[in-house]
Amino acid sequence: MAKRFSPLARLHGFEPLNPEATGLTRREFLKWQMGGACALAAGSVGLVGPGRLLFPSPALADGAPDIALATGRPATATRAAVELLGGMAAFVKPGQRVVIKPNISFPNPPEYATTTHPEVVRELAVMCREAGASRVMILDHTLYDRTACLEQSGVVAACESVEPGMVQALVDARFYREAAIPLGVSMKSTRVMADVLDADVLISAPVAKSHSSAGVSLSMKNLMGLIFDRSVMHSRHDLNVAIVDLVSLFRPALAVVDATRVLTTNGPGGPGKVDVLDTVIASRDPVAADARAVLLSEWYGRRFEPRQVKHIALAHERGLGRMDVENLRESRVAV
Amino acid sequence: MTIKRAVQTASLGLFVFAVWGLARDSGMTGPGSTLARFFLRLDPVLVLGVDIAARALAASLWLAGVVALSGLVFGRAFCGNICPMGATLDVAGRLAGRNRRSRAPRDVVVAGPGPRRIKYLVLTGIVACALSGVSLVFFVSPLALITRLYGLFILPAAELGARAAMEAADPVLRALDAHSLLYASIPSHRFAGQLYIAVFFGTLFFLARRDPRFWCRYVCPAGAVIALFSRKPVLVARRVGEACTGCGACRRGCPMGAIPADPKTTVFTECVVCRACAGVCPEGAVSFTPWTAGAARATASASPVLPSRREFLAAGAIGAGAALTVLTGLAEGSSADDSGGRPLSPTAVRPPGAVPEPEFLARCVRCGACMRACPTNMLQPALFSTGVAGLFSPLAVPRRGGCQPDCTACGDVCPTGAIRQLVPTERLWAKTGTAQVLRHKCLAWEFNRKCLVCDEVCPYNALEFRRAEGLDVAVPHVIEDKCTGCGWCERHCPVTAVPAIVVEPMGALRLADGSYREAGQSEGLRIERRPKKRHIDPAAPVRNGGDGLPPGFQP
Repeated sequence: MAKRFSPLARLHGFEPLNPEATGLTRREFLKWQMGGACALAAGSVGLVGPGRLLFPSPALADGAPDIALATGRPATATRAAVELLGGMAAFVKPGQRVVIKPNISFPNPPEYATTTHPEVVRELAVMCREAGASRVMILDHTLYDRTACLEQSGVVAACESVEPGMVQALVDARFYREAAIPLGVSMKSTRVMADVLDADVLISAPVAKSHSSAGVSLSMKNLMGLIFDRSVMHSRHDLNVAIVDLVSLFRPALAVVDATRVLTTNGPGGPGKVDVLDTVIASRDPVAADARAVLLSEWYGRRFEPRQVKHIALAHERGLGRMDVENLRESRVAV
Repeated sequence: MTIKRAVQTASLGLFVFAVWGLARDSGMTGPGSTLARFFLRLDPVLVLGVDIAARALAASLWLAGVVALSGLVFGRAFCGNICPMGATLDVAGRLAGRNRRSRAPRDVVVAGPGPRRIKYLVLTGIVACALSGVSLVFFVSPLALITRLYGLFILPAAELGARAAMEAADPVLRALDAHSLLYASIPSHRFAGQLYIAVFFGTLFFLARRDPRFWCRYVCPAGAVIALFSRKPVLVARRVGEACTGCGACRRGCPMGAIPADPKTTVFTECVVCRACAGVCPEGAVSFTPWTAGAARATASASPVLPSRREFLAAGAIGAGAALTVLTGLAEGSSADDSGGRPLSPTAVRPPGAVPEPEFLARCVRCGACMRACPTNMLQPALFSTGVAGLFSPLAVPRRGGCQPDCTACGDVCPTGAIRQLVPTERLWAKTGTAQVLRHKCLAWEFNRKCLVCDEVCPYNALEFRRAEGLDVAVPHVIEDKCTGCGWCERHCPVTAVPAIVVEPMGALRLADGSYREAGQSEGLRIERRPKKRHIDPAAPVRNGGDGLPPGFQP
């Protein structure tokens, strides 16, 4: 590699960003992280990259890439992807309340790729804690029996050590509150998890999988697990329009797509073909994250453009994010 | 009296704990189901009726035998101290208060046959009916009735109250952010036929105001069984000492009316050893001691007259007649002959592992344990859809909840083997029915709308979405030999009223014994939960549509 990676330089905008070729070796990344650790030891707030020390977060946000791709083990790749965006501190301020929405709607172990990898969820929770969040909850409205989903997805077991009881599957109506969707085109209001309405930060952390109705189920489709009456999305509304309506309501601050394993056929329930891609995609723009995930994997043995997924195209049209990832800044790292 | 209170409270407490523990969300399923089975099997009429009707002696018969024969030693102490039905009636009587203006107690021994003999006639009728191959024990088995009361009525009501309390306390819990309490999920069990339970027990409680333990005195056939052996209880016989002044306080205090006009004597077939008489005697003259102990012998009064031979025969005839009514009924399903265009109720989806219908109806005592245990509240009491003989028997109602692939709760708690206890590998193959798509209601088929909820929730991959001529969306097809009838599709179908996919008992595997897996495989079923290993199959089915696109993608 001719040009060595310099996060500092990139954050300052010294280095022209090439979306295709900003590879980072594992060693380099670790060194970069070490810098952050040293900074922390020196009395900084939060575990962030060196850029954080020199510049306040707005500058950081300006310099950060639009999309981050990290390859590696689920936990390290998750941390690396978020670090590329400026670290969790760019999203979570001390004292804020965070809700992480993984997909744990199916009572299957991680290898079936129907649920978010427990290590991805755990790492996000840990990072939120490190950023000083006062309250971190991991919530889903499961399709199947809540106990079975919580146990068999492995998410509860993984997160129990972070904080007991932080993972909850909320199926009772008492946990939901009616909320208007001002920008809704089809769905104008729905009952939403009270915890999400009360939260400061929402992180959508889906697994990447195919979906026989929506094409793919990624960070936007994932938001369906935050409302009480999921079935009206199918029966009363056009599913794709209703998904985009939910995006307009929730506007997640961060989308982390777990593509460590991708269910490329027979989603969302599987069983289907599982590709191991060892990749985590992170972006502040859920549309961009989903578009990138569509391009990352093949689906049913073929390649698709983001516009071929109707809800991604609709979200782009409605200005909720960008699916033209070729025009966005992307960073990659291998850990 | 204090002994009785303590024993009775402990027994009722254990019983309620057991019934509560049946539900999986209690986290006490193991001890709960063991204890609940134990309690139910104490009922001699329940066990006897089932075993006779099903023509099979269960190994657990000895327990009911012990209870029946306990009459020889303890009299009807079981009724007064252990039986949760008796305890509940005592509590209800205390809450409702006795009717203070009641007349002086009627003499327990009256000239001519009194109403107390009815319980023997009930017993006779039930046994005759069982001999004819039909079990109607569920109408009168005290343990089955009381399990149903607590499991389907009282505990769900208590849970409802707890939910309301949680909702009221929500702001406080949120302020404290106590996760375990704030997010505590209190189950909401709901059951069909609550009105019947309410009316039945409401009547019993009301009658108890007039005659305490009305049920135990006049109706209970289990009490009648024990009474048959209780003429001379060896160990705890009521005895009245010389200090007795004949004031009659004991007579008025006896909830069973077991003390005749001469209070020094006792009708032992009616005495439930509650010791109320000892408690109220101003002279302390009453004691419960072994039959032969001491100087003053316990004196048995002449028992109330047993029914006459003619009455016995009549009761037997009525029982046999009831059996014939059931056996010749069209909707009952009790007859082994299930061929010949016999209509099968489309709602008769039974729990997984339910034995063949005639034997199932003979064995099932309608205690509701399976319904209480079912984690999805899918199992509901049948009202009249499966005939009189099927009253209160468990039906799978998928619209309320689906059947979980790994769950064996209903078979685990069944006290009589009406639902077989299955190991997980067998459980998967206990097919309860088959789902069918009602195309005229389906969002995809009829309305050309994108919907795949049934596929999304199917644990067995028994739904296939294919492109159909003239439709823009893929439409669902049920693969019958992969479908187990679990009903998750029906549960989640977004179509309201009658859903667009329904489970019918068609193709259900009902085996009295033998392996469900072998039977299923020999029938060509291909039931599979999901692949055993990580599924990386390059040849995985690609469900291409007419335009060459996989489902969900657009050109």
